[in-house]
Amino acid sequence: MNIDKYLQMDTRSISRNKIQKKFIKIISSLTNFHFKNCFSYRKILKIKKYNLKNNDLEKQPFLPATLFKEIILKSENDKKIIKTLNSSGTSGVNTSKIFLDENNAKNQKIVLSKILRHVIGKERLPMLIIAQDPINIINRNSLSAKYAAIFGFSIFGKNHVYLLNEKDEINYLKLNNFLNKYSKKKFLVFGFTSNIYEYLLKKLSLNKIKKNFKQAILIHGGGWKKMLDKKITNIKFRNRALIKLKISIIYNYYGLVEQTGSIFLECPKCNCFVTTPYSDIIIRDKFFHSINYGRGIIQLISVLPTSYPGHSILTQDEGEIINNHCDCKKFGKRFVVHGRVHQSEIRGCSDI
Amino acid sequence: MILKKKVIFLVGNKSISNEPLKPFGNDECNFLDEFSKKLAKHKLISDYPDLKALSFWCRKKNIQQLKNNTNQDKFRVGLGLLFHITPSNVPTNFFYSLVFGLLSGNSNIVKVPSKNFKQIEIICSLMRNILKNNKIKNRISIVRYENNPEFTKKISSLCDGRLIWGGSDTIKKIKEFETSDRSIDLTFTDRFSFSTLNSKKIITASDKNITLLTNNFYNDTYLYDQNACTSPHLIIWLGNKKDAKIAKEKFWKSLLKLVKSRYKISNFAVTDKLHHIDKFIIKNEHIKKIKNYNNLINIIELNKIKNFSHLSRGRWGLFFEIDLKSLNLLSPNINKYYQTLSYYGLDKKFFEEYLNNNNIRGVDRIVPIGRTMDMSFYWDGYDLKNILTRVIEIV
Repeated sequence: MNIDKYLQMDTRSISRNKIQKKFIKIISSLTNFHFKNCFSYRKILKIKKYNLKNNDLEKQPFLPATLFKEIILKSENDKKIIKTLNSSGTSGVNTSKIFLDENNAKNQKIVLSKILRHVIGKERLPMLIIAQDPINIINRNSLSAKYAAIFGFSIFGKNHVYLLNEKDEINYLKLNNFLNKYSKKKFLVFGFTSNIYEYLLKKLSLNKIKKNFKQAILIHGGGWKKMLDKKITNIKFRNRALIKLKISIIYNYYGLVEQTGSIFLECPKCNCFVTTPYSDIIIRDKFFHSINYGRGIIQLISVLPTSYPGHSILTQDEGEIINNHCDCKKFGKRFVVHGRVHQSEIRGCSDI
Repeated sequence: MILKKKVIFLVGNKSISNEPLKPFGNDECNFLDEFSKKLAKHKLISDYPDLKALSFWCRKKNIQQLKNNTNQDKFRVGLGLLFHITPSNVPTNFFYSLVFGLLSGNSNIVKVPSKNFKQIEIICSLMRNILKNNKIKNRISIVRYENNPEFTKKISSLCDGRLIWGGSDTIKKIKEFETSDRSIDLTFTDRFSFSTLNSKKIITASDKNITLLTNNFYNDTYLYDQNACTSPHLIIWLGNKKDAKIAKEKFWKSLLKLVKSRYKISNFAVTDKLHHIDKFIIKNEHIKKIKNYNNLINIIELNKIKNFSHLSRGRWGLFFEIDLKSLNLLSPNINKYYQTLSYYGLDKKFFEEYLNNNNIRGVDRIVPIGRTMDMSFYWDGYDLKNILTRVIEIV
């Protein structure tokens, strides 16, 4: 099974069952590919006596997301690596390092556009980005997860305007110019969840703007840790966006820097994240058994990672598969994310 | 003595004596006896096994035994005033540190963890009660503070000795505060501990004895998430490979039964263990195989001990194991970070012979499995009842 071919497939004209079969083939061929091309990955699978002929999705091996923070993992020659992504690393000093070659970077864009097309449409829309203008970023080949996401998403917009100045304050002049020009028709608003909350939902003064956000499509993701600390739930967030800015079309997305591109968008009706033909989720209990009910550790599977062994990853997030009915059920598995795995109080005298 | 604000006195107050007394004074021994009895009767004692152990440890009989073990051929007095900086994660440790100081004839300022452990609250309220009209009330101050370098500086400059418990960062930080010329520092840092089991003895042991053994092993490890400095990380199976194979299986299976019924493992713990196992595989050669018992017991089996570092440590039930024909093969690895060697199916004579034939730079304690947490007056290689005193020679 060839990945390029898989990405070209018109997934809406093929039954889900068939897609699933092809998906599993891709994933197990990726396991074999990384086994051949990544020394460290091979070492792990060999010692754990993994059977490479396995075609069961649930039995595919997974790496812990944290491993990318401490170990350089790649399946491609250094010469061919064109870009490195770095996670924001909120929880520690170490940041994940993801190495992309040209093909991998290209595929990320293809998949992201396929996923977003259903939401935005084919046309590029004017885009307001809730961040500082990245003109100050000198080296675009080594990106933080935040700007990787901004650059990734910005290709689906046009007439980009960055809301914040270099002091992280709202630039009302720029904002009013943008709204004057574009607010009558559909436009995009994009940013990290915590930034949208901080600047649009909290700090923005409505007296200082002349137009409104009624036509906006808001896309946000990441940074929920800060929101949980402030006890802001997704529902509170949506309500506030609706009441303050009259924004009713909101898409929260969930994804890993290790699997940039194959994101999960929230269903506007049930607020669950939904899998796509490019990614899947497995919830695992403490014994790593796959579970269909109840809370567990999130494992994410993506067809994208080819230049590094990140196609099957055990995250440090907890989530749950949702089985009740919603129209989005026909597209894939549905799930909610509960936040980070909780570190209980450490006992003992060693503080490492 | 002037003490700054932001320091909470859980026991005692600013006025503290620095008079050196003779070790094992009657007042101090009586205080501990009363404390032990009252703690044993505390209504919450059954909720805290560590308090139970503490009460048992400072009972009269044990203190008397400690006293009898001291050599009384020299005239000794305490150093004066001791400053204890105790570890942040073990709730009862500060009291042991205090007892070492008190019984060797010193007065004590003890800094306890900033975390509000219930055990600390119970111990301190009991002490306040007992010390109210007690002769030794000016010999104990229990303090709690954070980010107060002025206080640490002041006490460091006044004390005759410091007992510093903690990771190497903590110790470095405290050592930056100067002490007087004659003052001493004793440091108790993160250590590496391991176990040695006689494979043959495991094979011949009755089911009852194996259950007893794994129960003891559980208390040494899982009770503190394998995170106490005395908890073993490396398990050595002494004997031939054939015996080791049978012994290992018998031991781990018995332990698994216990862990399944008693231990609550978290999602964080299992993802963290996976991370450490994968990282170890990538960075190390000489791995024979990986064993996983329900994510509750994880074992990395080694085929060579060479290059094994004391920095390889497990938590929440992650062990390294190896078959060795003789303990001598480990000796080149043993550095000053090795602390407790716990054993099964071996005896004192075996270790005396081992120590006679090997000059090792580490290992301060050799104890049967199940007794790694027993505190004694010897700790981290220090003979505390002597080192915290001063000898006055009379010729």
